[in-house]
Amino acid sequence: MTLKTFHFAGVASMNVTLGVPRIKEIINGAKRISTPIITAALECNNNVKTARMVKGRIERTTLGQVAKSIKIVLTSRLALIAVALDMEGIQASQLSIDSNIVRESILRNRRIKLKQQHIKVLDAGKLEVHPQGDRSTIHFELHALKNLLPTVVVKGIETVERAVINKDNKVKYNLLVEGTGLQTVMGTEGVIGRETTSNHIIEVQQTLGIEAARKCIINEIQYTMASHGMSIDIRHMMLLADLMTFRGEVLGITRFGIQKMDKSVLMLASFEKTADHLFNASVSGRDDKIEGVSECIIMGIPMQLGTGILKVRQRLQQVPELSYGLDPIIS
Amino acid sequence: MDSLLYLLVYPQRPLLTTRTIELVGYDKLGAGQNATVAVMSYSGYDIEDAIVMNKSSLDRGFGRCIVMKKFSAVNQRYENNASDRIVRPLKVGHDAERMQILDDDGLAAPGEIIKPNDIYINKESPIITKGPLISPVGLPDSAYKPSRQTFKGPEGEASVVDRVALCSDKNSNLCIKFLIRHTRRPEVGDKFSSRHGQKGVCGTIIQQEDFPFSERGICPDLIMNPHGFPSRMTVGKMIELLGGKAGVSCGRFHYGSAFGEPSGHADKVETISKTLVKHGFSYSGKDFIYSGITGCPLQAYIFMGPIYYQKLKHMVLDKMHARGSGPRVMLTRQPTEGRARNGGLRVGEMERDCLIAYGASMLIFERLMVSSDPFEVQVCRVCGLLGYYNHKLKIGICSTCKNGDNISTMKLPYACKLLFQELQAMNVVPRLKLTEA
Amino acid sequence: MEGVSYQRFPKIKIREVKDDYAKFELRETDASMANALRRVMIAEVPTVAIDLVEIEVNSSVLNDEFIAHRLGLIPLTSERAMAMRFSRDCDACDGDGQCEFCSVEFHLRAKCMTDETLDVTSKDLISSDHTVVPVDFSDSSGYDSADKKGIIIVKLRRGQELRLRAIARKGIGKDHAKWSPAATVTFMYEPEIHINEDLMESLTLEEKTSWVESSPTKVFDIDASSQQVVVADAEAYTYDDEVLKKAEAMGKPGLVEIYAKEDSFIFTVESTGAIKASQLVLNAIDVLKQKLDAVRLSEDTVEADDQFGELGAHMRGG
Repeated sequence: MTLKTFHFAGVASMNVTLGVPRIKEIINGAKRISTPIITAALECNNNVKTARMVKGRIERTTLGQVAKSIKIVLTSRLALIAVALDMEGIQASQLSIDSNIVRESILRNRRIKLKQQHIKVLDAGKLEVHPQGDRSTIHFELHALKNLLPTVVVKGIETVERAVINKDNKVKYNLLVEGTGLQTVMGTEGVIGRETTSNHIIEVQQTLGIEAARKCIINEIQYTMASHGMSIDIRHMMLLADLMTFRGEVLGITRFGIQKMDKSVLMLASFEKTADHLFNASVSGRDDKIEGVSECIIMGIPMQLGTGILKVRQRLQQVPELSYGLDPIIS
Repeated sequence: MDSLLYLLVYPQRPLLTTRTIELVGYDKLGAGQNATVAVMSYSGYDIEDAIVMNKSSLDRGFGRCIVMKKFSAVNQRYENNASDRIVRPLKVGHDAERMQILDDDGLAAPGEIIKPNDIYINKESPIITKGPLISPVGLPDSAYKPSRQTFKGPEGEASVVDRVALCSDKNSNLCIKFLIRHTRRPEVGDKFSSRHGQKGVCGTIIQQEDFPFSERGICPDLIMNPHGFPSRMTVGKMIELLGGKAGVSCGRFHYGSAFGEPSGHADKVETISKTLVKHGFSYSGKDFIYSGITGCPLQAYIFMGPIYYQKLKHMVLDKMHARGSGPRVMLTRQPTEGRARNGGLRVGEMERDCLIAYGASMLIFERLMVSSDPFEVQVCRVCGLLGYYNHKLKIGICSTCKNGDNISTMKLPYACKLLFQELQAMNVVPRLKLTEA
Repeated sequence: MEGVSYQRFPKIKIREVKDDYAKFELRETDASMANALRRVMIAEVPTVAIDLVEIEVNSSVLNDEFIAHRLGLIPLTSERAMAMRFSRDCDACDGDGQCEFCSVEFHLRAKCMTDETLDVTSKDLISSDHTVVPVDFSDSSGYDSADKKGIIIVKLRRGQELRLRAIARKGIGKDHAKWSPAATVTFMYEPEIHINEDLMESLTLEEKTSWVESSPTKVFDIDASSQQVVVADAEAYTYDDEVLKKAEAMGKPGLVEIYAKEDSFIFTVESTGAIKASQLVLNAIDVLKQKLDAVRLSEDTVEADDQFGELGAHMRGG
């Protein structure tokens, strides 16, 4: 396996992390991965136009993309920012945006602290924003607002970077959404929520639960291996996925994850950060049942797996003689 | 004097070179020998890049090398002005047979054959090394203890003292350096390589009469397995064989470069093939060969010709190592590491994981506990700490409870006992709770 | 099946005999016999070679064991070798192999006094027995005698000296190649060539010439008078299938049929000079007879007649 990122089959502009970095992300249970992708199944999957409509609903559109101009207007009496929307562009991309929606999104934006009265809607394509503040800070406020306004998301889901229409197997259309926000994508109109998946495991666990996360781990590892031409028996991946999820949440195989997985002091001490674990254990007066493999090896007893599962229980003084088969001809 | 020197006994210049090699002067170095190589499967001992060698070629000096090692000793001068001295060897006494090669001055003479455990410097060191200054000459014989240097070489090999040099180091102490040489004949396990990255270990050595022979009576020195060619695609080796064969037949050194054919800096394969045909060989370099064992001809034509082979310095005599039981590290009482200290081989973490995957629990127990550092301890059932065994009273006693009423004996790895004692020193107390076995 | 003997009577016809080179034909026998003869010639014919070297002084550039190795490889005239005993079997000496029955002693003393490089050659080895001396390679005609000085052992500079004593013993090539008396021993199967005359008639002269020339060795030739393809030298055929391939390429497979006769061999024997080539072959046959006698005359064979039945019948003339 090489450290390569491949292009997504069929779509020229999408990059998925594959190879060793991807396996590392999966096994470490990384909370933030480099290319989270949500595969959304469409209700109407043979029409490009409907697909484009759904894409428009999902894809993040910022004010800067739809506004024709955002200008600072300074007169002797007023100071405000005038926003003019590009209505033809909006019609062309089949978004349904008008000034009211823009007003709502500006208000919803947490970074811009404005109240209802500060934004005035002139008509369907024009807005005025009045910043608050007194004369001394108003210049600063105007410029800060001017920089922040283009980033306000007016339509779509904030956590989505972009969405790409993909024709999978040359038959059906589906949508590849780059970014997180699985729950919102599933709820979008035009998307079949039941058939939407993500490749970000923590997200799947938060949205769909721990069993779904387990299946997602298996699928992701299988996909990564298959794209290199290697096929692994599914049981190995099932073992790994079970191990990562048996505690109820997805724990990566790092020292933090193992710490949450295991209770044995000696095993944790022999893995990483020896002194810390031993000191904490002694402070809390911990007991260690010598059950796991590492502890058995440290203490010098046979481990209790495999052949060590058995112990000699009882020694008979007299072993009964059993006879099978026919009697011998010559005695 | 170099600490390690390898010399080839009969070096040859390569038959096929390139202009670059001649510019650099590599062909004047004599790095290997032109061996007649047959590319065929023979005897099954040539699997996985191993090479089959001709015993008669080895008898005649193919691949022999001389290994020269340096051993040195210093006549140290201590703080109290006393210094080591070298004395005349004893002729009688229980150490006399080990001192046979020493000359009258206590040093081994050049030209003597030295065997392992022979003494090569009969040195004595003063017993008192610190204290008031004393004159170095006036000490009696009893003030010296022997500190002879013995030769530690491979068993059964006869090395020869090549040269003895006396010099002085920067504190003007007398420094003695021995150069000990050993002529090594290629044996099974020595590594050879051609110039194309086709390295291989000698798999077996076969008599010349068993080797296949051609009609002209040519018997190869080396047999190489053809499986080394397909995945490695070393076309250069095949061209070297053709060029070498043509060179031997027509008496002119050829150039095997991939570049420079128009300007005469390289020879084209077609030209070389024509030369071969002119001298009666096949244009492809393949010969008709008879088997040496049955006398019948082989059913395929065999690619045979001279290739420049080099002997590499990885010889089996330097690497072979075995240990039954031996020295242990003092701190953890585990076997030592490394061939020089007669060490054991480590069963590391990854090997442990493989054994766990097989479920071989008794094997792990044996490797990591029984064969490594088992240690019997007395554990007190009351306080859980380790006690000691009193040999006179023949019972175990717990140091904390001060009595021997609740002592059980168990086996722990010494490293574990060491861990517990180190933790106790840090005020962290690991107590052992025992149950009935 | 009783009484039928598969014994064949091989015939030898000598083609060429020189001092160190012999070429002869062996007919009416098996490949196994020819190979056995070859193997015995290489490995089991005894010769005498230097085996033990005691060096007194060696200040040359080569070290002791190097010179000892080179001395061992010098061929010594070993006419006496068949009659000598092996050192290990000798009862005359106390087993250390230095008595006159089983060994020959040599001396070498060389010191370079002049400024010129002194070549110490095999001619400087002085033997205690005049029948066992280093082989002399010079031409008996005395032509260019300055060149033929013997095998160079080592070259000495002014002040360097070499003094040694060497003991030569009897041995066979199986132990060490220095005791092998054969330089090359090889045999080839005699080829039998049948030219299909009818098909040959259908070729033009150019085609015949090109076909004749496609053979790397000169096996065929075109007879100038009759314009026919004749066999010039059958034995030059090296069993490469070039002519057959060329015939097929011309569209006339079966133009010539070449196969090796299975019971006819052409031997080429070159010796190192230790034994004459003709004597080498005779010695080889003697050794082979001795080995077979060892099998035949051992006590087991008389009883185990069913095992060696045919061999016994042979020897008894059945």
